[in-house]
Parts: sequence; structure tokens; C-alpha cells
Amino acid sequence: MKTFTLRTSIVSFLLLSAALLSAQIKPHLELIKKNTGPAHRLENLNIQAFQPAIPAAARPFTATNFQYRTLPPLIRPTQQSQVIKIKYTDRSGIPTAIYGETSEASQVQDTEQKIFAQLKALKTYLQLENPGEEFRIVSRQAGKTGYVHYKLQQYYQDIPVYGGELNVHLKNDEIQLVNGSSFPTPEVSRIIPAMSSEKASQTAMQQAQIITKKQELTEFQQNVMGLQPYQTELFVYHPSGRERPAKLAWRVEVVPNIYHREAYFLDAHTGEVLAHRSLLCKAHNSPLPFNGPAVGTSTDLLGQNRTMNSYEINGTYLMIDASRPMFNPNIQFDPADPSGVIWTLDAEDQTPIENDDFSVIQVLNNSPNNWNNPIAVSAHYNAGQAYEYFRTTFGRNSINGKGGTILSIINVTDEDSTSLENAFWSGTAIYYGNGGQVFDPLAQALDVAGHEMSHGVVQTTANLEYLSQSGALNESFADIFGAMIDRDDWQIGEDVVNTNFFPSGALRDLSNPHNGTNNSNQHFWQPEHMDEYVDLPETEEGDNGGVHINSGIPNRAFYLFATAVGKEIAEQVYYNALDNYLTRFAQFTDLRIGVLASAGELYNNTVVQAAISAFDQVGISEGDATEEPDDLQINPGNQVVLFTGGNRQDLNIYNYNTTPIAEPLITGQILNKPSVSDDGSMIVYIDGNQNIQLVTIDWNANTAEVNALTDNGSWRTAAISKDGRLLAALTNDFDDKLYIFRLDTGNGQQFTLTNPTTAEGISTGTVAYADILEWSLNGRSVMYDAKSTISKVDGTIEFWDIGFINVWDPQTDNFGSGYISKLFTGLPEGISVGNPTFSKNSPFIIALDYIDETEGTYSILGVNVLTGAIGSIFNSNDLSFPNYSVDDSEVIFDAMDNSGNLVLGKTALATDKITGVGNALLFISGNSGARWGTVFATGDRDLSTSTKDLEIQTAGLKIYPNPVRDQLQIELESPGAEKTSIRLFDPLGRAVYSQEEILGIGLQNLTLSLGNLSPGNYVLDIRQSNRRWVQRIVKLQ
Amino acid sequence: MIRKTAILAGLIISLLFSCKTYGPDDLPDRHLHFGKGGGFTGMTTEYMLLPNGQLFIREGRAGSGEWKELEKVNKTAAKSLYHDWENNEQFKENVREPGNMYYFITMKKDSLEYRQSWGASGYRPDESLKSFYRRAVDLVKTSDVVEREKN
Repeated sequence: MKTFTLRTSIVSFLLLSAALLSAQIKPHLELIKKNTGPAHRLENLNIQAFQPAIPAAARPFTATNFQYRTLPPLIRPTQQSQVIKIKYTDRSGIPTAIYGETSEASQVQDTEQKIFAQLKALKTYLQLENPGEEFRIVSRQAGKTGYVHYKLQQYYQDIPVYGGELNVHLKNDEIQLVNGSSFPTPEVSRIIPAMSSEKASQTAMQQAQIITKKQELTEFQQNVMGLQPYQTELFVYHPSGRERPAKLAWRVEVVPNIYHREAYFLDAHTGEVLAHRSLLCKAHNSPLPFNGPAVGTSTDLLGQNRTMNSYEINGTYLMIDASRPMFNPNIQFDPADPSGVIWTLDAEDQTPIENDDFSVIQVLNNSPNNWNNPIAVSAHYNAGQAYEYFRTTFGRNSINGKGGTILSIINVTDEDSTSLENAFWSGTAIYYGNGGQVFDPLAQALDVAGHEMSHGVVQTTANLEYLSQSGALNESFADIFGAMIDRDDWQIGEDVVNTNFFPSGALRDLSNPHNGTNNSNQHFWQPEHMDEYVDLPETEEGDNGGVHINSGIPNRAFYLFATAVGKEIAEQVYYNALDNYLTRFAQFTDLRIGVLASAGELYNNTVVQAAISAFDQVGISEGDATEEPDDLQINPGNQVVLFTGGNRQDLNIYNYNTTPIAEPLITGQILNKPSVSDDGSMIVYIDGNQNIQLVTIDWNANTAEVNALTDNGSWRTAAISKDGRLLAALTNDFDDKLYIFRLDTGNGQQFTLTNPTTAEGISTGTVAYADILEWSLNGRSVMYDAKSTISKVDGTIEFWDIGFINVWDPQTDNFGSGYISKLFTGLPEGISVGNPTFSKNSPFIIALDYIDETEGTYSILGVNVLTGAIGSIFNSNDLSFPNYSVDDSEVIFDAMDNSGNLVLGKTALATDKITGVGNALLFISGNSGARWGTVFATGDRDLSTSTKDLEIQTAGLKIYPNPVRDQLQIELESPGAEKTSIRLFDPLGRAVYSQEEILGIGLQNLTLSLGNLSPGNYVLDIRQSNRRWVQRIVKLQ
Repeated sequence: MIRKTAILAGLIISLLFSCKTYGPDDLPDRHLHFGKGGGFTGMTTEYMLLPNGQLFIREGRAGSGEWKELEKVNKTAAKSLYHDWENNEQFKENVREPGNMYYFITMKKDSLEYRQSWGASGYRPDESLKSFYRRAVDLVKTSDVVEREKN
């Protein structure tokens, strides 16, 4: 047994008062005293520099750059076998679109029962108590392509909920999508109206007579024109949207005369007018309204006569196009906030850039013809053209697909009041500058409008992140649709560039990204092949990783594809790929996979082969553009366990076989879960005085030494990086700040923890403070859990979730960008996740605590960030603080034995590392209980070396067809005669096919029969002793 | 006597140091960068302001282009910006929220880099950051960029 000599002992004990933090899910935080003085500042938080005994250079530290990606909203453990995609479009927290079928629904044959099984499985998301009673099917319609569409109406105790309508779409009896709008189960105290229907009608008519005269309807008007003086219906009504309490209300539609049709919502108990809608009469039922859409012609910037759609109000014409199908004439028209229109506004040479006084005015004319504003005419006409392109080509109704108003703002200047030589999409509107030396007014060109509007479409579909390859795809899709809208050539910006600056006559060219020069330093040059890919920093000066530069590669792929199959087919394939196959962090290779899948879905193998050829020609292949992080070599040292006592006093170390090594190693109060470097030579923890302590252990000499890194009593959590060079820490300010320190110099940097904004409108809340910290294996990121709050009308919601923040850049050996991604895009209300820990050898595997506060249940979940798979490891009674064993075969966790003692338990894991198998066992009891167990090994390992030194091959493997329906042909150039494993993994990371055989030398032909597999994405993994090939495969129906 | 000489020498060195003129390849420990980019064109405009009022501009495709020196701006105003940057802890955090059109302020200090960028839909930068950016741009406006550009 090893013995230890402590050269410095912890001498301070401070029993802190339990400043309760209300009913949070982190009970251990109650032990920590919150700083009540001024907030800490970085310069006052310096730590003592510390030089590790082993120089950092001795341990190479250039592990694979693994980009943590955000997963879809978390699916509960009971639904984990299906991947469900949920979209939110407002801040209510209720999804408006849910893609996919839950496992609960999958088990039901009868279609209608299946629909209700789906709703029941999703009831937490929809905030429904009993969907089976709350929804009724009101219609069923079979579509042309095998789809069947059901409409459901929401009820509360047999009373319809106004606006509570869901659509369920099925294909081949499998639910594809649930969308619409529903309300959380209402709470209405009395459902018998105190006010009669007749009284409600009278009240509504009295209200209508305030705004117009009552004229009795004639028999002709009632019988022939179909006008009814009263229509009354009882609803459960939400006066101000989903976030307000519901009321029992009469909806009364009154027609006081043939010119007016007014709807009133009256409180069914008090008669209070809750809402009023003025309904425009339908054209066939009433005289034409005095005001409304008008049409004329005017000259644009190119000197072309354009059809101009405007809106007349008392002889004045506004540049509001209400002629499109997205305009609903039954909704009261508000010229200050029109719905479903194309609207052009004038910024009058103001800058929107950091200008709080920025304002716009209506573009007006006294006639529907001859608008004396060619900039506005161009912007307005081009927006209409772009709208019609998406509507007629793809059936997409406006930018958001839901008939949302399209805004164009002209005459925008630069921040220094000079003319803006640019146009941009702000997230809600297109802004046009008027150019200058380099560009003509940007509104002049149709492809500029198409490009910018397409950014909006991208934002509301795949929402590609504006960074590096996903950002270049964002730009590429904007160029592609821009070129398809202005489809007479393949150039972009040809109608607005000054040819002195752009000799080719265009800003970009899809057919020739080099754009007339071989000089890659020219500002108009783009790469056309992956060999020319420009690796730029992900900074603003670096064009966010070259988003406007590397878009040339996918641009040319589209050109090649469209040239082969025709623009009409190519645009359909790409739009479908964007809408259905690509996700936020898609890379070039994901584009290839998505386009191939889309081509297979919509067309035939000829089109698929054309897509393959196009991507091959630009060097975008499957698999080699995405870095697949591999497992690390298992630490070869002795496996030990670090833990505190049950009352979180003392640090103890046991061998993994549970024989004590040092009990205690350290005495005193321990305020956070201790953190250990990868080789076990350094342990960091917070002592009872809220200072950071560093224990260094010489495992050869069996000695340990404690050094206080701070003496300011400001800390509550700290974690050391795997290589022992860096420290992450949180202060007792309980704020949103994270501090990163270099141990060798003591220099630090402060980072702010935020919840990334999203274009889908998902409310991600504000970070209050973080708690658990753990460094990624490659030392670039810190994983943390944090408490966030979301403000709602009726209070706030608090929850814990998990994020990753980039804090270190090994290439520059300096602090990182602070870029944050979250583990999940959204958590259902009442659900929290926390206490995350990385697996010891797989940088993409995480275990965490899952808390359902509504049900009062706790679980340990495993998550594969690569595949999105979630497994259940252990159902617990409390927070478990899981931690992986050195070989990732087991997870240890905080538990309670049958006598109520605080102990460590452990459970075995399946090979996927995210699923528990067998029964959990008592692991360590300790002399005074056991808590916060951390497993580590005492050996050195190269954190950059993957398992068995397998090098992913990019050559020698050919598979086809891909996407595949049945037979997958594999051609493998085997360098040697040796045993080869061939495995196929499903999206959940499970091996659905596994085979080992001895292959000969040279070209080997194999065939896999995949006809029985479910459609979806799979990963083919072929391994030999020192080689590995990985390729993604799309299985079609 | 020796002491007086030392003081005098120190003053001279200090004076020389304070008058030092820098170039893009010979920069002081601290240099403030700010600008904007993106949009349809993808072009970037980046300014570099030094504490002594020296101002540089780099325009064109992001990641390329050469620094061009502009006329010096008011040294006191430049120093004031540096002073205010130093005294605002929020500026020392890294915030990355770029949008299709993006704006940025980056302080390069020794080997460290403090970066704030914004422009993403739904993200509202702190008022102090916007105010700082406006002041920096206003300072650029005091220099007639085109006419005073040095070849």
C-alpha cells in the first residue's frame, strides 16, 4: 500500500451558515457562503503561479479539435429511442412544430390512437394534462404523395379552446409532423356562463353601434348574400396569447350593416369586452372596400418598367404589396404594422448601426403609377419577385413559410453617414445601402434581394450557424437561390458592381468561383475546390472562418449539379436538403449527404449520381471533411478513486478495488467536487475558507504537497485541465462569470456565460451562475452546468442546463474565443440537467444528472453528442454526480445504501458508454460515508493519440449507391490480408450490423443487404489492425 | 550630478518614447481594433487605433488587404478611449454574437486579445459597448480618410 506524507496540511475549517438558495436542485450549494460585498474583479483575483513538476511540453496536447454541438431538445428517458425535432416560434415555451414519431406512438397500430399516443408522449412539451380528453379529431384529408393530414381541435371540458388547433401529418402510417398552435391546459374556474348568448349578442351589437350605424339586413342580404346579424359561440379564450390566463368567453360576430362585420370576445361572466376584431367583408359578399390593394407601373433603377403593387388609403398609396396570397383580407389592415405583405420603407439616409434613433418612413405616392423613387421601386419589385420564386417553386409562403411580412429598408447609410456599399439581412429585414465607388445602389439587383431574402429562409429552416463551413453553406445557399431567382446567368452582383473593382463584371460567380483571376489574394477570388479551401480564423477579421470566401466551393458544386440535371431539378433538391436534411452545424460533407438524400427522395438514381459527380469534382467527399474524434488510449496507470466523506469533509483516495490508499489524504471541509489532472498528479479543490487549494502528488515517491493558490476567500468551484496547465474557477459572487487562469504565470481571463441566441425564437433564458466545471480532454473547452432563468408574464422559470465554452486555443497558446454552445437546444419546463462529466476516453460521450422536478424523479443519463443518442444509466433518488471509470466500462455515482448511509455506487455500462446494464452495486462506503467520487489513473498518456493509432483513411474505400435502398456495394482496397471488422451504427450509436472476416490483398467487393433497416442516417465503420475507414450512409425507404 | 544626469536621460528617453511612431509591423503592446463587415459583399472595414492617435485602416475581403495609415486623430481622444476601455470590465470579456452584418471591437494587449462582436438577430450589445463603438467611429470621422491617406 502506498503511504503519503502531507508537507502542508489544511488547517482552516469554516462551518458556513446555510444560506438557503430557495428550492433549487443543487442542494450542496446551500453550504457555500455567497459574497455579499462588491463583485470581484479580475485584477483582484490573481492566483499564485505554479509550475507543474512535469513540464507541459512533456505531454503533447494537440488532441482532435472536437466541436461540441447542440442537440435537439432533450427527450425524456422514456422516449429516448426516437429522435424528435421540436421547433418553437414564439416565447411562450409551447412548440409549434414537432417532427418525428415518438416511440410511444410507434408502438400503436391504429392511426387515431397513434395520434393520441403521440400527443400523450409530448404532453410535457405541450403542457397538456390529458391530451386524449383535450383534443378531438375534426378532419382527415389524404394528400397526393401518400401523406394523410389530420386536424385536431383543442377543448376544455367540451368547450373549444379558441385557436387551439393542431395538425398531424402522417406518411405510411408514421407521424412526420405535428404542428399548429395549442395552449397549456387552461384553468377556468366556472364553465357555465353567467351571461346568456342573447345578452352577449345585444352587448356586441351595442359595441358595434359605437363605430357604425345599425341598418337592418334585408331578406336578400340575409338569404342571398349570406349575411347573419348575429353568430354566437362559446370558447375558452386567451385574451393576450398563450401566456395569460384563459377566460370563458362568447365570441359574437355581428353585422350591423352590409359594410361592417365585427367580432367581439365578451367575458361570459362579466360581459367585459376582451377583444374586438373588425372583419373586412368578403368581396363576393359585400361592396369593394374603399381602400385596398392597388396596382400600377413605375420605372426602377435599371430603367425597366415594373408592375408596382401598392395599398391605397384615401387616395394616398403606400408601398405595401397586399396582393400576394399571404395577405389575409379578413384581418384588419394596419398600415403601421401590416400583416402578410411586402413592405418597403425608407430610412432617409440614416444608419441603423448603433443608432438608437434609427427610424423609417412610409414610401408614399399620390397614384399607383409613376412612383418617383426608383430605389424603392427596385427594392419593392425585387422583393416581390423573390417572394414569388419561393412560393411558386417550393410552395413556401414568405420568408418564414407562414406568410410573414417581408420588409425592405432602403437608403440606409454607413455608420459614418456615408453611403453604405452593402446590403444585409438583419434577421428581420433587408437593408439596402446606395453604394458608391465600388457598387451601384444595392437595391438595383434582383440577385441581391434574392440573396438577402434567402438568408431569411436559411434562418427559418436549417438555421446554419454563421461560422466556418456552416457559415459558408449559409452564404452559398443565399447565392444559389439568389442565382436561381435572377436565373439568366450564374453571376452574383453583376448588376451592381463597378467593373474597375471587379474585372469579371461580378462579385461572385457560381460557375467560376475564381471569378476571372488566379490570384487568391484578389478580393473577388473564391476557391472552387477543397484543395483551395482557405483556412481563416473564426474572427470577424477572418470573415468568421471565411464564410464569404469558401462558399465558392459549394457554389460550384451546385453549378455542376444544376448543369447536369437542370436548374429546375437542382433547386428542388437543394431546397429540400436545406429544409429537411441540414442542421445548424452542417459542414460541407453534410451538404453532400443531404443533397444526395434529397435527390434520392425526390428523383432517381441518375440525379443522385449527378450530385455525387458534382461534389466529387469540387472535392467534397463523404467523411473526410468532418473530423471524427476518436477514442483516446486508456490511461495505463493504476486506477484509483478520489472522494470526500459523506458530510463533504476530507479527501480520501482508494484503489479502484476499494482498498484505501489515503484516508484521509486531506482533512477539512471540501466545498466543491474535486478536480484531477489526467495523470492524477494534481488535484484542485475549494477549502472551507473558499480558497483554491492545489494538491500535487508524486506517485513514485508516494508524497503529496498542498499549495494554496489563493488567499482571498473568493472561490466556490475550481477545475484543473487534463494537462494540469490551466485552471477554471467560479467566485462566490454567484454571477455569470467564469475565470480561466494559466497555472504557470497566474494570468487570467474573465469569460461571461451566456445562452446563445437562436433564430427560431427559442427562449434560452439568462445565465444566473454556473456550478460544476470540467475541462474537455483536448483542453480547449470547459463544460459547465448553469442555472438560468426565463422571464414570463406570470413570473420566472428557473432551470439548470449544460454548456460548453471555448476558453483556450492551443495553436496560439492563448485564451480562447469564449464561443458557447449548449448540450440541448431547449429543455421542457420542469426539466433540468446538471453535474456533467466526460467519459475518460471518448470526448463526445457525457454522463449527467437528469431531474424531472414535476415528477420528482432523478436519473443518470448518458449522451453521445456526435449521434444525439441518449441512454439511461441509472434511476436515482437524488443528484448522483456521475463519473466514468478509467476504461469507461463503469460509472460511479453518489448513492444511498439500504441503511440510509451516503455511499458511492457503481453500475456497468454497455459498449455505447451511455446505457447502464445490470444492477447497480455498492462501491465505496468510506469511514464516514462517501461523496463526489472521481476516478482517475496515475499513468501518462498522449492525449492526442487515438485508440490503436488508427488513422482514418480517406482513400481506398468506395461505396455505392449512397443513399441506398437495399444493397450497399463496398469496394475496399485492402493493403494486406488481415481480419477486418465491418460495422454499421444507427443514429443512436447502436451497432445494427457487425461482421468480421479475413480479407485478401487488393480490391475486395462486399455487399451489405440493408433492405430491412429503417430509413435514416448510419455510419459505416470498417477497421483493420492499423487502419480505419468511416463513411456516413443514408438509408432510403 | 550623477542623479541629475540620470533624470535628464530618463526624460529624454521618455520624450523619445512618447513620440515614437509605429507601423503595422511594429506596434505598441496595446492596439485597439474596431470595424464591421459581412453583408452581401462580405467586405470588411477594420480600423486600428493606437494610443498615440495613429490610425490605420484595412478594407476589402476579410483576411486580406494591407494596412494603410490615415491621419493621426486627436491623441487625447485616443487616450480617452483606451482609458475607458481599461476601466470597463465588460470589455475584457469575449462576446461573439456576429450576424450577417457584424461589428467588432478587439483590444490586442500583449499576447492577449479581448474580442466583442455583435450583429446577430436577437442579441443586444451592452449600451456601454455601443457607445464606445460610436465614439471610436466618430473619432475616425475627424480624420478625412481619403484625402489624408498616406501612400
